[in-house]
Amino acid sequence: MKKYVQPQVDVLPFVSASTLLTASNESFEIDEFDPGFVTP
Amino acid sequence: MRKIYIPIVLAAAALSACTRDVEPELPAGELMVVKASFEDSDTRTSLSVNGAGSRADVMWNSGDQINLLAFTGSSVYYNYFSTSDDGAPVAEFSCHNWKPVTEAQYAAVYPADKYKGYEYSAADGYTFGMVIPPVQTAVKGGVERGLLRSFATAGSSVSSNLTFRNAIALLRFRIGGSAASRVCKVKLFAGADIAGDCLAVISNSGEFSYITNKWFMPLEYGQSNSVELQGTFEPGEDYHFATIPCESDGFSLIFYDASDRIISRHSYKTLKLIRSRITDIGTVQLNGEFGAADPDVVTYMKHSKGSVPVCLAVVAEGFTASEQDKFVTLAKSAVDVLFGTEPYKTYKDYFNVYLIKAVSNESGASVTDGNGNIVTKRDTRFGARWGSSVYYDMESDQPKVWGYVSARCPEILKGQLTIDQVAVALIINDSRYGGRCTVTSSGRSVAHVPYTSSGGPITWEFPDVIANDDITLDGAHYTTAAERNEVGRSHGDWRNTFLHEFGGHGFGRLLDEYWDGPSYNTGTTIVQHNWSVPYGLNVSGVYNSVPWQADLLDNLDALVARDSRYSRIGRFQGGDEMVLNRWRCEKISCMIDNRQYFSAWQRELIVKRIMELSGSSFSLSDFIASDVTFDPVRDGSVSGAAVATMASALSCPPLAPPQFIDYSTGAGKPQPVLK
Repeated sequence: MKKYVQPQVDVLPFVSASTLLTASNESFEIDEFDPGFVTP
Repeated sequence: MRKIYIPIVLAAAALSACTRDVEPELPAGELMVVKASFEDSDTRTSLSVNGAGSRADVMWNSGDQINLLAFTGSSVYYNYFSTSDDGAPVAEFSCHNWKPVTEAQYAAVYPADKYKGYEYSAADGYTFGMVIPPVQTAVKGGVERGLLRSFATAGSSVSSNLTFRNAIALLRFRIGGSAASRVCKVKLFAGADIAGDCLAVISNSGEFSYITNKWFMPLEYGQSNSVELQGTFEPGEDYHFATIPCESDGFSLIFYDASDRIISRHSYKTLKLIRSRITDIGTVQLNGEFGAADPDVVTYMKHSKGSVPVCLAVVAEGFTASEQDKFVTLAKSAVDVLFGTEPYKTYKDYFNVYLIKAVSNESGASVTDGNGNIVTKRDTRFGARWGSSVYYDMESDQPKVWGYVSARCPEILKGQLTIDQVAVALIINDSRYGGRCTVTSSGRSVAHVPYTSSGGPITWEFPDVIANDDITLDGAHYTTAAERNEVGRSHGDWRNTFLHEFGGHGFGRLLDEYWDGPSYNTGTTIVQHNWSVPYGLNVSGVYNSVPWQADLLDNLDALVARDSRYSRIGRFQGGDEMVLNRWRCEKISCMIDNRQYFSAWQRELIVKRIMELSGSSFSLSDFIASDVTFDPVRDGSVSGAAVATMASALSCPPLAPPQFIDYSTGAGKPQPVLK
């Protein structure tokens, strides 16, 4: 069995220039669902 | 795309993020979900919604931060990037002091600081330690700031564009009706883990999967089969639960007023909580009064001692709608046997016992091939199943059982207890022999108890072989008539199975003390002893270090002076399915042949658990003062009618050992070998 442990994490190396990234987001699609709640 | 001029304060924050020894102190991230018809929002102008309103866009807001990760070898490099764009589906993120690492795999996560760990492997792809809080704040039309989770994978090089993919599912609802204005809390219960700690895995082909029983340690919340939404609720407005994607066969919504009185809504349908989708269940009408009793729940016992009740739940399985009264009658009968047995009898005033009805479409239970594969399917509420001749694979859909009980047990609904603290028994409307308890390292349990022989008599024998002595591993011999006569023979019925599985394994967290045949192994460790909620302390793997040494063996003279039956205490070889290399406290007990007798050490362990769960403190002297040593088999008398019944009893082998689910290491004890 695989045992998960916290990996070693280091800060990325230091340089002087600034960096730009463009990030886009996925949309949520909407589904309608009748839960059919049991009448108490 | 416009350029971003980073304010000095953000640049300073980014710099601090690049110093390994200093935790970055950065503003919390935010994402908003906005639906098509959402109005009066400052993000309205940047929506990208189709005409039908079947999509909700995720908008970046100023101050949002992502964490860019570079996986190389066994190391993971990271840096935070921030945006000052506001209300936009696409935003520019910046960071000083970053450059690509050579020969790395890149990914990014949002929010930057909400993950417990990261891992990449060429075979499995990316693994993220994701945490979904089981208590969330209600936000009209959206979700709590920083609650959404999303990932972007970039492969072996980072281009300027990252496409974030949602990692969670949302459940949307509205409330209406005369009671709606008084709702101040809503709780979703599912038959699966929908919140807490989990692993989110993105394969190299981009497929998402989720693992809810392994984690990056330490845990923040553990597993949760519920999400609680707190705050203000306006009738007719959209609210969302954020969950781990999964399927739940049946679910419940519980609505609370300010006094924590509830209105319950239960569904038997399969709820699909799908990644990056909003499941909209529409408007839930709340026209009843808060505080009405759940018709599924029969309160059979009420506690009068302890600051917190010790709760047991007995649940129907394989009973149709017309058989629910039969279930209640059988459940009461079984609970009476449990509380007619020490120490439960003496400590019964600490307990609340709930009998919980559940309607199945068919009577009985499914039949397997003895190896977990169903050969004859019965449409029952919880899918109980086992082999026709081999019952070591006995189980049910346990997460579904735990969700069902969680949504109906009053103390769990009040937040006083969790399902980890409420032992559950399934009474299964099936006349076959069997019995097995599923137990977890976190304290959960389901004892599976069939209505064997429709209540007819059953008898169990002492094992056929026995250790040659109690100290060495020097072999075993066939059990002699004198050895059998000393312990007596157990007679009873299916309720003794209930006692063993529920009172022994489920609530008492006791291991079996029988063995079957001459096999054993030489290992001395019992892994369940080290579980977060320890299990199996009634059995030792080391003769010279038994857990009952200090309390019982070291006080044996005083105990025997008080009651000669304490002379039954010792260190007897055999237990946990092994004839050698395991030791038990007394020669015979319920954990061998299901009699209405727990050994002294078993009684102490059960009482300790009662005291712990009831918020009371355990006192050895108090325990001894009220302890009862009577064994009805050896110390009672048998009537002539009982002797006649015994002669016709079904002679059965031992019940199956528990199914162990170990959440602490990810490596549980293997399933037993089929016999």
